[in-house]
Amino acid sequence: MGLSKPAAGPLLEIDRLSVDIRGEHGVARVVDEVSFAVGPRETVALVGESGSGKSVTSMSVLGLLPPRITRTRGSVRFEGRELLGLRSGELDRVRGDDIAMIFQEPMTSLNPAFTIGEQIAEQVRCHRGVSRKAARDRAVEVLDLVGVPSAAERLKAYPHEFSGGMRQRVMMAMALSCEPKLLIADEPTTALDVTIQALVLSELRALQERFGMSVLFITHDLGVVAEIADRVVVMYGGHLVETGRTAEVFAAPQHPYTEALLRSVPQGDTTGSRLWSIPGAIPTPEAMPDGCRFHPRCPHAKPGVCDADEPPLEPIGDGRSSRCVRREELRLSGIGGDAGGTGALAAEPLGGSVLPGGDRK
Amino acid sequence: MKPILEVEDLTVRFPVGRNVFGRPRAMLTAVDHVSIAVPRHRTVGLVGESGSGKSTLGRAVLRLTAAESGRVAFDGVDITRLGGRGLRPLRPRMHMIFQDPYSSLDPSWTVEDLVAEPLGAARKGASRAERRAAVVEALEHVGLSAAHLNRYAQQFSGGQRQRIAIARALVTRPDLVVCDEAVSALDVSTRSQIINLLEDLQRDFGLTYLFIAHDLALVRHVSDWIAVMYLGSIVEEGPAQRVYEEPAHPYTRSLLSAIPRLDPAERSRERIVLSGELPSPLAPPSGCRFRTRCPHAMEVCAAEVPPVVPAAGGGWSACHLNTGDGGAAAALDKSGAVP
Amino acid sequence: MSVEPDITVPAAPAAAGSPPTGTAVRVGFLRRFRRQRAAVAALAILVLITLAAVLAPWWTLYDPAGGSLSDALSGPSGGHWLGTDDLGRDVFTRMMYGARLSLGAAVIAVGVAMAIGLPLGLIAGYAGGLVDSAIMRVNDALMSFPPLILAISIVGFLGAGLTNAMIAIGVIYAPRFMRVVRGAAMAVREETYVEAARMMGAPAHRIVRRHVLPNILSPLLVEISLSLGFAIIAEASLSFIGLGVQPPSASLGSMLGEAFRHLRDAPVYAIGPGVAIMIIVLSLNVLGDGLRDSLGRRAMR
Repeated sequence: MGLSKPAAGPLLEIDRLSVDIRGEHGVARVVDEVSFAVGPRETVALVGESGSGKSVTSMSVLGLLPPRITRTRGSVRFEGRELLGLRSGELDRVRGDDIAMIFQEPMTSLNPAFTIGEQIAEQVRCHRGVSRKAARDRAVEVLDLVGVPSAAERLKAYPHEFSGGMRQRVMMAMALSCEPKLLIADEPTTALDVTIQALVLSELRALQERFGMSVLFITHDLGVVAEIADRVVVMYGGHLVETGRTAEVFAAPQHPYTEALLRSVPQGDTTGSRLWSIPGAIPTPEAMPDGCRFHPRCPHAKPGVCDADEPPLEPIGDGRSSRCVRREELRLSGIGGDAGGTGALAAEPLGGSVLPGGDRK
Repeated sequence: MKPILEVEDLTVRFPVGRNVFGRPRAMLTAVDHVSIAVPRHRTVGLVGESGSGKSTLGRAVLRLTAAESGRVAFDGVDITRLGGRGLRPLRPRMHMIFQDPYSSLDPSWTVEDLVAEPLGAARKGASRAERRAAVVEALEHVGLSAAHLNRYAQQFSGGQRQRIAIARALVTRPDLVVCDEAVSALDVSTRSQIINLLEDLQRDFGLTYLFIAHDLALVRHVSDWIAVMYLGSIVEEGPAQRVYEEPAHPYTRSLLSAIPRLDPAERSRERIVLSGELPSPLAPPSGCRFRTRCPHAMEVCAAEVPPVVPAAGGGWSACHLNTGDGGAAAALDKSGAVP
Repeated sequence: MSVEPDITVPAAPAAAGSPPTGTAVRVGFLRRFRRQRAAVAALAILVLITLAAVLAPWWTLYDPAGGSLSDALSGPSGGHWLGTDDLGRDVFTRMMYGARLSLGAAVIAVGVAMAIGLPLGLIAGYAGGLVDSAIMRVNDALMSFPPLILAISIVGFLGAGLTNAMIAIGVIYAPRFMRVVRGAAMAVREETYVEAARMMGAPAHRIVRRHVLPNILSPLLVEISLSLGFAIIAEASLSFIGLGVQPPSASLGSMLGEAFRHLRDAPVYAIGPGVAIMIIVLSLNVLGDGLRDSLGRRAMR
């Protein structure tokens, strides 16, 4: 693992991706001009709360958004080849073969009517065109690989006979059966217990080392990001707000939202003190605030500055970028930084909290 | 003062599968001879993996699930065998906040009706205006207002729905509130808001919480006392700080070790990785239930149920390593890593 | 696939700043329903037919029971749009009156079915266990009879006539309602808000009335709409073989029966009532499907 060196060319390159979704309240832009890349052998975490657009971003890579109600613009290139606008037949070949995906709820992603073995073998045969026997052997091999005990016997088991953690490993086996170059994992451990999460994450790390694949990991859990990601992409309200190497971003965030997310996680002994929280709620795409999208909830927001123009995403060197105009004036605290030292607690957010009372003292 | 809630030797079993004659094929022991006390105005955290029986214990405490044996005493009154009628006067004094704010609020009800629901049983004679006043007051305590009265739960975000659920718990001014994974389904930022709100309300209204969660870091933050459950039994309990910093049971250690750390530099730390998964509660292992996954399992663990041993710093643990003279200190070092 | 959460976000929690809208749930339903073109058209047709049938005495030109034999079985003409029957009565007028009877009869039948099926289904679904098993065994027994044979034997027992036929049809459809209601109630019973109500000490009858019933209205409405269609066909079948409505009154079914006897002399006679039955039943089915699509659980979230 370790930090990845910027290799010859990125494996996956997302360039000014925008996604509009038609909902009941009209068309909403849920992903707005998002650009980032995933290099070979690299793990990139896409972080944000629900409604940030992170899952939509990842699904648009594989063309999984319902075309009837979505419009996607920009570019998604895999090994230099444009994926947006590919016909479904061509996309099918990319899906599973070069790019595989695993989801949060493994039960709904597995077909309850077929055995685990049949489903993995089907996947293998589909993409490799090998014999039934070879596909079966391959299924045993990958199940073994992801740590499913007595894989050969478990082939005949149905999805409901597995526990949540086991099912997630079966999903991983399926995703890995064709040795994809890129694995997209959408909250794969969110529904699992911490003990099982630790197992699945370490399994994923080991597999990545072995196959040298890249991983795009979507999560809202910053602890998981710290455990697995080389680089992190933080999204808020459909925008990319900060990106950089995980260690650097966590040690010294350059966007108040990243800071707020980090501080919302209770660390160490916090008994008796109040938890740091972000006031209000994430805005809906129909009611995006003017200026910086985070400013109504931001403790550092400055009237006349943050609520005026939408701040651009600016590169700040060393592969990092941030979308905050006050970045240079602020001293944001990351992990290990002193809790109340930045004066952040004293600052009142512009526009007040959406919900009165309760949240901040 | 007597604890508001006392659970003694409580056992809850469920029938599993039924044969053609309607007889259960097997009995699943979800809670096995558990005793725990929750003192007034305090928060007791209950942690464990899914399947540990922590939620069942919470439900049994509120008599949502029948106990097979043992005793639940609420404010000194044994409620274990009370019928619906006998329980009714006690219902307003205890409440539960559920994990899923989407399914715990009836989509066909307005916020006013939802929050007023516990009043239905409590104050039969109350006029509509009195009810509304009580509802508005409860809503204001959780950061909502009278403007929300006529809306439906569907129109709110997850965090706001949980606020509605809390207002509903608050409206009868209960003594005990069981929070069953009350914040697990929320986003990080909303989660802290709700936790802070719960703590404010505890201070303002003298609430007592039984806080059930799988997130140890959060449980440590809110709890005064923590009990760790594994496969239907409590394996360790004690003051929150002690359990977190000097866990006495190997299971508690492995739980703590599995929590992801925010610092990427700790990625290379040694972890206690538990082998396998929770054994089936239909056929729990003999002796110590944790032995099949325990990195320190010994012969004695299969043969004998570990005794309860008081822990230095408060509370106790049930592990053979901790019996005898100082065996614990020798076998488990403080870092939480396996030698 | 976990596509749902992020995609639905834009639509759902737009609550914070907007003014309170008490009827938002219903508004959402109307918006979804409006989008179902076919269902809207079906509803319009049904409203039109119902109005035409109910108001028949005030706008049709002929007496449904009177005619002159000299005009018998004449084909369509300017005076008689759909011709006349074997007694010289105007077919179009009789059809309007017939539709009135058929629709009324279907409503009675579905009413009977609901009166039996709804409470039993609610009890079975919410109580579960032995109560459920007992109710469902009886239900299975009833459902295992061929419906028309059962109807004929009930009518045979009660005597021929429209009301009795409708009661028979109602009894036959009651198990279907029971099944639908029971299934829906069982699903609602598992919802956390029912557990929450129990936790708050609400007695069972209150939970069923205030939590279960409102939340099974959607499948119930769909079932009612589909059952009305079935009931119209069932009434037509019974009246066709003479067990339903008795002359001189006519329903669409009995008219079809009469027309059948004169199929060789006046083939046009059968077209009116036949097409009317078809349009009504088709509309009810399309409406039922439309309701299902706009009321379904998935659509709600």
